[in-house]
Amino acid sequence: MAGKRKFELAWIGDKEETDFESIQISAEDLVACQGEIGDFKLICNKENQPEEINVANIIINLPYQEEPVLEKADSLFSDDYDINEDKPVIILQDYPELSAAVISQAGLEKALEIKDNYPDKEVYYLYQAMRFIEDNDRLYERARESEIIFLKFDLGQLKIIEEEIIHYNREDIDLKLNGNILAAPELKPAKETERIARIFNLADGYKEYLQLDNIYLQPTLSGKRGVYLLKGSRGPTALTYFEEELDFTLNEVSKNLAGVAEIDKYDREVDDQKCILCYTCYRVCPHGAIQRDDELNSMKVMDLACQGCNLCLSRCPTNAIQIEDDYLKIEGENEQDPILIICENSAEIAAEKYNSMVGKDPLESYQKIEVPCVSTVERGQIFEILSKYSSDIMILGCVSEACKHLTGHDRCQQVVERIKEDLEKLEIEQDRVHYERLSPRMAADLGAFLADWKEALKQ
Amino acid sequence: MTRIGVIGGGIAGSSVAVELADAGIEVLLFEKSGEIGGQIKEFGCKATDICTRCNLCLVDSVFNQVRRDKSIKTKNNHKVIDAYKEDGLFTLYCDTDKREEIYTNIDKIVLATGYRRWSELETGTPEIFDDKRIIWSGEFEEMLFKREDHLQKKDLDLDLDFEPESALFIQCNGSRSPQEKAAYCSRVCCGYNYRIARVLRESFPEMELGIFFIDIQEAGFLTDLSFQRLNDEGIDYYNCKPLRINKAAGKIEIAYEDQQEGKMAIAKTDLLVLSEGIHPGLENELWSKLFNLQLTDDGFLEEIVPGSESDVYLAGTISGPGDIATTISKSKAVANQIIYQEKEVVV
Repeated sequence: MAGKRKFELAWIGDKEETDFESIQISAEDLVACQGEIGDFKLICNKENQPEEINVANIIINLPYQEEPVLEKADSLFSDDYDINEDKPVIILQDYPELSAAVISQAGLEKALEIKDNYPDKEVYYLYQAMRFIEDNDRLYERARESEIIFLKFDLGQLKIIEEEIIHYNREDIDLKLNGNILAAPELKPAKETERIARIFNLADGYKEYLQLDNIYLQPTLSGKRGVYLLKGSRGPTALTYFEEELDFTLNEVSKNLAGVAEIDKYDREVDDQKCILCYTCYRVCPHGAIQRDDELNSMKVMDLACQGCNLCLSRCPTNAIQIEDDYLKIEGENEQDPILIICENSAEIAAEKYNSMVGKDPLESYQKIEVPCVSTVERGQIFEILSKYSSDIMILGCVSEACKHLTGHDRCQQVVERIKEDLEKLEIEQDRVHYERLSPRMAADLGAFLADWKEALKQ
Repeated sequence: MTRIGVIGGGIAGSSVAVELADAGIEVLLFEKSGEIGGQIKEFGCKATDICTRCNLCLVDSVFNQVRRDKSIKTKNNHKVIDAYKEDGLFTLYCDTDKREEIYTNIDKIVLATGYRRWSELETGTPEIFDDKRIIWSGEFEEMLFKREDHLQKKDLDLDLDFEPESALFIQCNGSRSPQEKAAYCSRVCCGYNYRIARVLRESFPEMELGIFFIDIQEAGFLTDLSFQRLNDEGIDYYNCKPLRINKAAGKIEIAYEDQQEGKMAIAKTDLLVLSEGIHPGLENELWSKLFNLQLTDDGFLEEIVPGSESDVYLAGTISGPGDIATTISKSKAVANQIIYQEKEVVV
C-alpha cells in the first residue's frame, strides 16, 4: 500500500520508553506475522477490525505470570500488604524452590522499606540463597545492619502449617513464626506464549518460555532475525540483567535500522513447479525464514531472514529448493583418504586452533567437506559418496545447545540414524558412516581423535 | 574516516572490534601481550553428555575474525601508558618491546582491559598454595582446555601427580570478603565450579564431590542450578563458608559448621579446588585519571558522562564481574552504540 506508515519497532506486550517510532500491540490482538527483518507485516485483529501493521523490528515483552505460593500470604511484589500491630513481618523467598535473583532484590527492598517505616517491627527474612544482582550486596549489608533477622533454610528445614504458620527447624533453633507473610511468587512463562511461538514460527523454547536454551541466542535473540524476547517471554532469569538485556536489544534495533545485510551470500530458490506446499521447510527452518508465496503458489526463502544452514534444502522431499553453491564438494588430493564432513562452527575452528597450538593440521590427509551446519547432509548425497568412494565418512557436528542453527545438529543425527537403518537393510556395512559432536574448544581432543581414527582405519 | 582505539584484546575488546569492523569502521586494537585472546584463551569446554552453556563456543570465531579482518589493525605487545585529547581526537602513547609508539587521530576509545584473577593478587596464606592437593579453578580450566576425553571417550586426564578419589570446591574465594577488599559477589564462580564438578562426575562416577557455597547464584545462563539438582547429581553441598583448612597428611581437612546438626564437623578430601573471584584490573586507576572515569569502591570503572559525550566507552569486566555471554552481549551493545552514532553523523 503506497504511503503506508512503517514503524521502526513493534512492542508485543509491554512498551518501554525509546526514541524509535514504535507501536504497541497486545499479544491477544496479534494473529499472524509475515515478512522478515526490516519489513515485517503484523496482522492484528482488534475488536474484529483486521489491520496490517508494517514494522522493521519486533520485541516481544510480555510479563511473567506470578503464581502465589501460599494462599494466605501477600505477594512480595505487591505494594498493598497488611501490617498487623502485634505480629512480625515475614519475608519468604526460595519457597518451595529457589527464586530468581530479582526476587532477592525485591525482597531486600521490601524488608528495608518496612523496617524504615516501622522501626520497632520484627522483620524476618527466610531464604535459601541470597542472589546478587546490581546493588544487592549493599542492600544486604544495610538490611543486616538494620536488624532484619535473616534465617537461611536448607532443603527440608522449612515447613508451612495451614498456609500461614512457618515452622523453621535448624540446628538448635525450632521456631514457629506466625505473622504477615510476604511471599515471593513463582514466576511462570507469559500468557499467550504458545500462541505467539506459533505465530512467529519459533521452535519450542526452554521450560515453556519462548527462547530456546541455546548459547547463540543469548541474551535476547530468538531464532528469527529482528525478533527479540524480553521478560516473561524470554526465560526464567530474564529479569536478572533486564536493564542490560534491554540496552543490548535496543542497540541491536539501532544497528538493524542503520541497514541489514544478508548473512549468507547464496540465494536459495524454490522451484514453484516442484514445490508441493508440504510445509516441511517451514517446519524445519530454525530461523523462521520460509514463507508461502501466494502469487507463485509455492514456498519461498526470505534472503535476509535466512542464516544459511541448508536444513530446508536437505529436508525438502521433492528437491524443490536450489542453491547455486555446491555445498557437498569434496576437497582433498587422495581419493583413498577417509572423508570428513565438518561444521564450520565447531570442528573447523577446533582444527584451526589445534594447528596453531601444535603446528600440524589435523585435517591433513583427509578428504574434507566443509558445511555451514551438518544439517546440510542429505541421505541421497551420503549414498552417492558411499557408492563413489571406498572410504568411511565421519560427520562432525556440534553439541546440541551449542548449535548455531539451533536444531540443525539434532536433525543431522536423525538423518544419520536413518542412513544407518538403510545401510542395514541393504546389508552394507553400517559403520562406514560415523557421527560425533564436539565444541570448538576441543582442539586437543579432535587432533588426537582424528589421528587415532586414521590408524584404526588402516588396520 | 572514523578510527576507534580499542584497548585490550580479550573477548570484550575483540567483540567490539569485530562488530565495528563489520560496520566498516577502522579499528586499532591494542593488546599488551604477544597475542590477542586474553584470559579466556585457555579456558576449557565443560560439556559432559550435554552442553553446560559455559559459552566458550562463542569466543574462538570472534578471535579468528579479528585475525582475518583487514580493517582491524591489531597492535600486539602494545601497552597503552598515556593519552590525551585535543580538538576532539585522542593521541595514545604505547610502550612496546622496543620503543614508545604514538598513535594519533583516534576518534573514540573503548576500554576493555578486563580483570585480574584472585590468584594473581598473591594475597592470602601462601603456605596453602604450594600444596599439590590444592589447586585454583584457573588451573582446572587449563586441564580442561587440553582435555582429550570427549571425542575419544576416555577418562579425563587430570594432570595431577596423584589420583584423587574425592574433590571439594570452595566458593567465594576472594569475593564477598571485606578482608580481601572485595565485598561483592563475582557472579561467575558458582557456574564454573559446578560445571567442573559435573565434568568430574561424568568421568569418575565413584568420586566423592562437594561444594561449599555461601549463597548459590544463578550463574549466568545456567538457570536451573539448585540444591535439589546438586543432590540429584550426587554432588554434596555445604551451605556455609568453611572455617579452617587443615593440611593433614593424607587428606586435606576442612572444618565447617554443620548447620543441620548444629555442631562443628570436618570434611575430608584428596583434592581441593578454590574458586577465583574477579578483581579489578591493574590499569583501572590509570584509566580513571586519563579518561575521567569514576573508580568505584570496589575498584571497577564507571562512566561519569556517557560515552556519546566523552568518546570513551567501557566494555567487559572493566566495569564489574560478568560471565562470558554477558560480556559478549554488552560489548556488542557498546559497538552498536558507536555504529549508530556514526551513521547518524553521516545522515
